[in-house]
Amino acid sequence: MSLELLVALGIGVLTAAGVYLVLRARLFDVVLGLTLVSYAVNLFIFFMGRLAIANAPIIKSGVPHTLANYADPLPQALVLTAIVISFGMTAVLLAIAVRASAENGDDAVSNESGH
Amino acid sequence: METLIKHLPMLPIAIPLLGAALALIVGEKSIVRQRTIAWICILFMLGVGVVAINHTARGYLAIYLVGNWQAPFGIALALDKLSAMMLLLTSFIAAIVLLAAQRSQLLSGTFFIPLFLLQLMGLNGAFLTADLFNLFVFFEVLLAASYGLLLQQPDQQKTNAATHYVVLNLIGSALFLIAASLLYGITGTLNMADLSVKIHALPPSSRPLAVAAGFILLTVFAIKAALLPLNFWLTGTYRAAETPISALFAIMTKVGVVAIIRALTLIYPDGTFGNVVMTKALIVIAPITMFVAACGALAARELKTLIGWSIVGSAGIIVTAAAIGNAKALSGALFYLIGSTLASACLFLLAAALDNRNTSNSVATTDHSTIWKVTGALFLICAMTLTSLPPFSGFIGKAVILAGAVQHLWPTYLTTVILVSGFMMLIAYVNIGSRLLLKRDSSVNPPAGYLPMGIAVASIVSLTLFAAPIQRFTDQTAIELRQPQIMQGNVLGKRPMDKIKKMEPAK
Repeated sequence: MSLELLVALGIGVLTAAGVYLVLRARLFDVVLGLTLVSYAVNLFIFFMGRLAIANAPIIKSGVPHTLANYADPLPQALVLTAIVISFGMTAVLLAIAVRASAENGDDAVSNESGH
Repeated sequence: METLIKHLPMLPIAIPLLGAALALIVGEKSIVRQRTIAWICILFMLGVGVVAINHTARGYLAIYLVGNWQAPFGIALALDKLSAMMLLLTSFIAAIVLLAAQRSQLLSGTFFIPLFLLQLMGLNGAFLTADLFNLFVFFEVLLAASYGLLLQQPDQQKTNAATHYVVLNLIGSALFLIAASLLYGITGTLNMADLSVKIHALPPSSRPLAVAAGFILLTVFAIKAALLPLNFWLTGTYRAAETPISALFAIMTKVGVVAIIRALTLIYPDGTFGNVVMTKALIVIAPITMFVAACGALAARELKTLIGWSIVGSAGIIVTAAAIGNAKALSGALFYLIGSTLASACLFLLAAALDNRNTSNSVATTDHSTIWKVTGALFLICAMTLTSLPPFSGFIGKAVILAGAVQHLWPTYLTTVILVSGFMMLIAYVNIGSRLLLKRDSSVNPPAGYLPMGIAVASIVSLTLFAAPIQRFTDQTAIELRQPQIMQGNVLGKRPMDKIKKMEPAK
């Protein structure tokens, strides 16, 4: 139970910190916040396959094929995809943010494009 | 031909991907060859779209097991009537946009053709996939391409709009991942048809989690579809984008709308515990979206902002119909979707012609009054479609939606909101239209190309002329959508092909 609690708290703290940073009006903070949120989400995906200790997702002969004896391999595959995508998107956002801060003169989140 | 039909659901994804790769190899220096590649891809996609419509209209529902994996384990693509319709609409709009883009400076832009084709791949994939995580991936593909397209010919306005747009969509992606993995955690599957079966059979203790996941999914799709209160990115983004690109973006909100329809008909089908609460929330949010969009339209001072708000409004009415949920409302919504997407794409192209910023090269040698007449006629037809005036397709769609709305529990509320916001939208269009066209408050550019707009308007008119067969198709689509067991049986019953040669396991 305590491990579950620790993991849940970790994800919660990461998300809270990420959301706090995203809500700030500085692009650099927003990028950092999004990175924290995506870490939290990646952990969340990973642990949705349940916490498995010392179990590999590889079938062994003689061991019954249930999740009690193995780690769930699918969330591991999903989280890899999610990591790659969020990494790439953060890079794109950084490039745009650098450009925006160069054009606006500072890295405040601008409201110029409004309605 | 036989093989092509067998791989039909894969083609709309494979063709643009291949085209994008080829266009990258050819390189930006030879625009003509890049353009040829893009045209070949779009013609292929149009062909595939027509074949798909033809096949699905005869009751054929193609399931494609990618990599030959059995359905709930591997990724499945499903080509049903809804996806066939969206595929054809996407490739048609793509053709119009490419035609319009040829006449602007866009083709020589940075990676325009590859980005354009990747965007099409993302759109097609999002319409076809029957797997929730795969839907996420295709959303990312189309978003990544749209970031690049939005930043074509960058200036300060575009960079700022892109910042907002990218940040918002990254948060949306995070929510999508949370919802998808939550659903995986409680059901152990990500295949939409399998989810549909498994969510229904969940023990009562897991049901609140399933509903929570459903609401997070709805939030993500609402960001894409620009439902209130998540619509504020749309007007700024669409206004900032170069004109032919914002015409392409007109179909991007429809991805969110189609995803909502899928969520309400397949993942949480009518009559299940999740559907009840979700439709209750949407039946409040979507009509309010429509009303606020009409208010925004009244306040709009520029044509592009006005079109942005009417895209929000049309998303509102389609989602309202999806929340009403009966076959009539769904059918009307699909009919409305085709017309409103075409009309808003065409209006975006017209906005370029009526752009009052390029006053320098306006009104050139060609006959002055003819330009105004043609522009005015095109504007009138598109505006009548978007404000649902008879005889154009917007009216037919909205009338059918209203017929479905009176069967709902709250007919007065629904019909009042739909009609009042439609009327306000009409005032907004009359206001802007008279300022732009009657008072000639703007300059009209020489018609670099009326061809793409002409094609769009011709298709809008033919939507009215051939309303009966098209409506028969949308009726069948709605009936098919309301029977999730068709999709469940087809997806889960699809057997992988026999392997040609069994591989020996390595020792």
